[in-house]
Amino acid sequence: MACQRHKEITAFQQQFCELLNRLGTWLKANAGKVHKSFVTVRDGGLLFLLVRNSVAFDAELEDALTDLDLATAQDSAFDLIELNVLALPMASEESYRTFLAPSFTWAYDAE
Amino acid sequence: MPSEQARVELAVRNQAALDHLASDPEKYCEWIATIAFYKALQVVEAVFTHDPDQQHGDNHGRRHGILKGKKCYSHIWKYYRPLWSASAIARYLRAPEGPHFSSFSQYMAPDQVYPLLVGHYLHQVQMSARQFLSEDAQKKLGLRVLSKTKKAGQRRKH
Repeated sequence: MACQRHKEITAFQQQFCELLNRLGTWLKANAGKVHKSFVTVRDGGLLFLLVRNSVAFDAELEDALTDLDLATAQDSAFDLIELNVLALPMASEESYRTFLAPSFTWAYDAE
Repeated sequence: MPSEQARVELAVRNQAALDHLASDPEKYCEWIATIAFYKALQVVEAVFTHDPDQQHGDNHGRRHGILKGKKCYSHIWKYYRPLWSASAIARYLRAPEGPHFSSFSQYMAPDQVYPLLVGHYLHQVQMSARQFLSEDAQKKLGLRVLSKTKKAGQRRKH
């Protein structure tokens, strides 16, 4: 039982590391539009939260995020992970922090 | 679990609220975003009543997982996710006056809210969903009804 649990945790950790790589690649491709990015916990799963560097709605970025979201969800390499993606407009840190879980938030540095 | 009919009736009530609020988008843009998303949610739940594998979304996380995980629902998700995103910003992003975001109308201009969220994204959710819905549900949602033959053909494409 404990051994099985250990295997599951190891598998999740591997998938999580691979997910960070995938998100990093996406961030590099869209770096000009992103101010800050985080992986946090929300609604019982992981949330890839972006804070854009502009305020007005950006349909192109939303489409790109949806494509990333679908590709990740339908990739068996991430079958242990539930991920949502959300892009916020440029906002103060005080404002976007309300979307971040104090218990687990990983600030992304694409560099 | 609510039936397809119950879900569609809630969706129709949401649409009535949207039509009412559309008269003053400047004042109600956050509510238009929020109700557009909840109408889409009811349409999705109506679709799930026909899915033997997924009878109920339970919560946002599970509902999202179903829509994203099954390829037959990918087209619904493509238009549902921006509605979820806009409603989350409308409901939860609060900020003081300042150089950055301080109101939903800065994010989405009031004259764009209804055409974009209802006229485009919500409309596309419903058009993508109708192949899964009964003819009665399609009629109540004001959609041009897909015949059974066409529905079967569209499902095979997925």
